[in-house]
Amino acid sequence: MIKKTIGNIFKKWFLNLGENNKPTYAVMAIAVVKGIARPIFTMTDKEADPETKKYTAIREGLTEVVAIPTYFACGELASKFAEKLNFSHISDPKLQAFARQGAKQNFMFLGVCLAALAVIPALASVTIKPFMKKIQENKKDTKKAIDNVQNLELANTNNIVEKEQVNPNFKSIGLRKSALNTYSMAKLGGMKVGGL
Amino acid sequence: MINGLTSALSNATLSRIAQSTTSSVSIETGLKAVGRPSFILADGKIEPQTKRYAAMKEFLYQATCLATYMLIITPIFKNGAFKISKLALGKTEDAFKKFKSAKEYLSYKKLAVMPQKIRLEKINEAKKPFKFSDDLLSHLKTVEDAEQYNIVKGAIEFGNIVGSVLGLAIFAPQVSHIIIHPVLKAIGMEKEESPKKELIKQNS
Repeated sequence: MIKKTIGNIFKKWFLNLGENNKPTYAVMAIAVVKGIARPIFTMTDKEADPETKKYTAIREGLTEVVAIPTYFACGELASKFAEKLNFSHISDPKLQAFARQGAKQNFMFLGVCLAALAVIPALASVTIKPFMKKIQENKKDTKKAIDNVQNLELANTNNIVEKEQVNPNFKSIGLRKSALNTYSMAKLGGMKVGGL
Repeated sequence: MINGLTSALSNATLSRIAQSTTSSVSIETGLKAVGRPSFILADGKIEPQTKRYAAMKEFLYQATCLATYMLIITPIFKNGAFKISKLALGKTEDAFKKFKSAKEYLSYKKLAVMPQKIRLEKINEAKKPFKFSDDLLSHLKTVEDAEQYNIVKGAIEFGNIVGSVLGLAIFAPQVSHIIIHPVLKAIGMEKEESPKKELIKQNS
């Protein structure tokens, strides 16, 4: 039962693909898998810096997110141009239909090529660069805030340490002073108390 | 002039390429291998040394992807998909019984899509014997709308799409990653790793 159902599903797919295998199908399927696989590969790289890895993975994922609809739109838009071509010079209606169908497929293919070569890199640089800059700015702000908090904490700890260090010094100087005073006073007074 | 342009844009060979996953993906990757480095080199904002390095790296990446795809992925998946489909669906679908291999079907399909007038011209012009059976050849000669056996074409294209996805998104980038750095080092565009860096790597 399950085997038959799966067989029927594949039959349907095969018939549809055999009838019309649009050039957009393969490139969109590749872009979907690239969008998932490439960030995973990047994140599993043990040699790269964690921050760089995250940045590269997001960038790669976003590029494919831009690429998928662009491939589709460019292919479909380009095939629309084929409908405007004039085939009146071909008298045989069958040959005319054959040429029209061929032109539609060719335009779609050219649209996909144009998307891969120019449209996707251009769109990616327009949309992804500002997005990545924003992420970096946010990260910088967060890092600044964390640094500020850390600096404050560090300053507080230093103060405590200074207080702890200064006080004994001060006391010891005081003690020495008082001791000196006592010594001088003792000498002056002619007393020999405390071993002096 | 316009008629010539229309004929070029509706060219049958180009539409056969557009309908074939392997051909269209190969051409697209080839264009990327030439186009993307050219765009990098044309960028005025980047330093010349960096530009050359990035362009060469991009070219090598696309070229190795294309070579891996054409030499390994395409033959395996094209023939594999045909054989698996023949095993699984061959009992119920007569179309699979008529062809021994994917190559045989594709050679038949090339003629079957053509209108009879053009098809007969091509058959008469042919210098080599056809790969498919004589029964199919006589069918192509006598019938106006030849049988397309779309289920076979679909099975082959399905295999090609799966192969393209696995090949270009997963396998080829790994292969090119292994090849790119040694090639860049060999042509002097990338320096050898310093012993200090290597020591750090070994210790980590």
